[in-house]
Amino acid sequence: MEVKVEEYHATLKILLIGNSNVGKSSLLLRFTDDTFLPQESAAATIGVDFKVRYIVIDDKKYKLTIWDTAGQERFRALTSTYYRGAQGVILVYDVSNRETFEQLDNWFHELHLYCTNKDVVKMIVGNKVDKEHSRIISSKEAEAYADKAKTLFVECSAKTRFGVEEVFEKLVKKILEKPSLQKKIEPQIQVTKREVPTNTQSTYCCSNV
Amino acid sequence: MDYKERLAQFESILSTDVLAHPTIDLYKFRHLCFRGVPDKPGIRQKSWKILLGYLPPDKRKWTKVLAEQRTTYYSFVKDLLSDPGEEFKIDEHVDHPLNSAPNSKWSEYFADNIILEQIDKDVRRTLPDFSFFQLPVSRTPSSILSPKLEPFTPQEDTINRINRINQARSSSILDNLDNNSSNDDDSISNYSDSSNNTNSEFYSELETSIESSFPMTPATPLTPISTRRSIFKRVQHLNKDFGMRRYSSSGSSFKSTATQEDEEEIDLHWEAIERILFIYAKLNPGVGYVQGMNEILGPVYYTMANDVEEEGKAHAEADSFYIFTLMMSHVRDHFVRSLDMDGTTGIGHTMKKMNRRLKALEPELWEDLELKALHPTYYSFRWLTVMLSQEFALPDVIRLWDSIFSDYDVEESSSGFEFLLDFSCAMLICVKDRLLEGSFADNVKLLQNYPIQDPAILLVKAYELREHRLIAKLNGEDIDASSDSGDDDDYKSNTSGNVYYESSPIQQRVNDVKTKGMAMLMKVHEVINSKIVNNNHSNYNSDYNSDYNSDYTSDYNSDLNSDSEYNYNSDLKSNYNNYNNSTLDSNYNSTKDNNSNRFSFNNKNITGRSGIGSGIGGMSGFAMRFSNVWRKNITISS
Repeated sequence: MEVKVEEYHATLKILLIGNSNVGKSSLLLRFTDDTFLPQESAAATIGVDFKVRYIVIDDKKYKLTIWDTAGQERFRALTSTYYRGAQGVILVYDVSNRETFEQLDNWFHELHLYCTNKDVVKMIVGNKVDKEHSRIISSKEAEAYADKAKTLFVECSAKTRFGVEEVFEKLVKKILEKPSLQKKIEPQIQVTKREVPTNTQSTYCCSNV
Repeated sequence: MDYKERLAQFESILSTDVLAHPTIDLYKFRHLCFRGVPDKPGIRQKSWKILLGYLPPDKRKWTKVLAEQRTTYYSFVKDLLSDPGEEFKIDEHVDHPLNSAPNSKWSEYFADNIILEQIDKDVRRTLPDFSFFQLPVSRTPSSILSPKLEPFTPQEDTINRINRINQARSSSILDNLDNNSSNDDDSISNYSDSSNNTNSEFYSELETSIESSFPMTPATPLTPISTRRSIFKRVQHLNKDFGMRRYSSSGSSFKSTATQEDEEEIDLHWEAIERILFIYAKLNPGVGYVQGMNEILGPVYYTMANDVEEEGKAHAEADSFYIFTLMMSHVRDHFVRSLDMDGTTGIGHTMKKMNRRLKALEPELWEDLELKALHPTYYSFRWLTVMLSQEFALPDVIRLWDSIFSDYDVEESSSGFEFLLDFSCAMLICVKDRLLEGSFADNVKLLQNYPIQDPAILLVKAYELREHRLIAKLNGEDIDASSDSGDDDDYKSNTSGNVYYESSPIQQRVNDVKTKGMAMLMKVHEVINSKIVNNNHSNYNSDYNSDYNSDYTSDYNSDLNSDSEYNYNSDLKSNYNNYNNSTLDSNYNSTKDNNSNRFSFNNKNITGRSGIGSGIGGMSGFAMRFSNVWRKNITISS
């Protein structure tokens, strides 16, 4: 998929967070590549994974740069780097695992700690709804939690595709509604080699993406 | 030196003929291994054990060392994997499963279960596109972990004297498990006091203590350790999420005691890995278990479990545990969260170090990445934490680790594994043009899905970078050193940073110091080879391509086409392909196709040299670290 710089309206930075094994990488893989790897076939994410997908909202094309972070506690200090400049954050839990839902409080705490923009759009996503028989967190309970936290809420299944497109569409639409985030919606630095001042005596500043 | 000569060298060095070759010259051996260990089965297993310090250079001590270490591991399995109710014989009025007191064995047990669940979820997906780890371990009569199938009857006519001793030793391990725990503690406490001892002292101590605690006993049939599978029961509720367990005899009901059924159940390879990681986490509570450790352990265990020697295979799990522990002693800090931002250790430090090295070696590329705000965390975090095991196919990772394990800095001050950083820099430099052209997003994608899958190209570049670095170091310049600590933290360029590399890029400095540096280099090489011939001074590369060290030059230039056997990994590769799941092996097929030439190094213009000082330095650090492991064992088993 070759898309040139001028063909899309803006770049949005989106971050996926949540406990390990809730299916963040699977959700992303379904969204960007429309494939599914069963849990036992996907190695744990170390550090961060990065994927790009284009999405059309109201006839405008947006480039989504999506950061898929490692879920284990140990990696969280490093995750702070990835929060920088994010316009949307997706907090994922597993509907069949209460602990991953209860940990959302901690993830919110961290989000507020590291997110540079207080208007950042937050969304709670309950994954693995295909496992209806072992569901522990009801839609109602999660919805109530999301209302209280004033965040978006979607349930989905990376395995069956159910709700996956909705996750990102809903999130992007919300980002586009927020004027404070609009200012930040500029294509990411498109510096090519030619634009780089080769004279190293010149001073320049690099923005954080 | 062609492949056959090389192989012969390895075989003679590793030969168990202790009379002809009683000790190994570690310096020379590391030098030899640095260019890759031959893939003939059995060689790498021994080589890694020696390189990492599991086996001492004195071969006469090998049998004893192995017997001792393996016994210790099996006592870990016995003591650390048991349920509180049965093992500790705790009075239920004093301690019970609902006791929330911090010192309760039961509360420790439940805390451990959280670690265990995390390990279990991860190890099931260790190298997921590779079926080996889903297979059962081979049933070996001399293994205490895999149940015996028939009585142990060694065939005397095919076993030489050394092997007979080995068998007696390995059986004495098992006999001693039940009756010499007090002896164990005594011998262990000797090591824990030896933190200041030199290597030789450490091993001589080991020798004496083993002499006393390991009487030679005849081989007897083995009974598996009853607790060996208890941890899998503790997390069996996770089975529903996976359905990958291919055996079925363990019922769904919770059984707190081992049954006959249990003893007959065979472990899968990933279960062996789970046990190692759990025991490591128990013994190293400060580190615990962190995602990614399974990726480091995977290639080690795979290598050990494919040993040709029956004894090595039987004790693959125990040996892997120690090799893993020794590897972790180099990279452990990368896994400790509280050290992430530490200035002298931890992953943050290592990433900065790599970035500074890149800055010195390739200022233009470094500057471009800074400008695009391509923070090293985005790519090098994974590279360094799991030692590139997720970036390349398993046989290539194993080959790369040969070099990483055998590379030691000229001084012992370094934490080792410096070649990992050289190689990572080479990975960046080999895609320099694409990085300079690409946007931030292009580059992150490129580096997270690294395009060059033939590590031979990267190895050549990495050898060259290492050479540059060491020459600079011999000249008293440390290219890893931060000239201005200010620009490290936020990765923004500033004037002083520019001045630094403007005034002294490594290429210029190398040229400047060539005369001086070469003189020092010669001294080093005189020690090794007593022969330095500089036949070409026209440029830097040719200096090092010159024939001062014909052993290494010929490997990569003249001889290799004459010997097809040097083609990399014939055994390992075919083995590997057998395990490769057909549904997911498209990547590997593509590398397979190019296989005929990989690692044949038919590049005539190799600039990287074997380098200087690839093997100075003792192992006292290892001894110290090991003694800490043992020290903890005392508190647990007493």
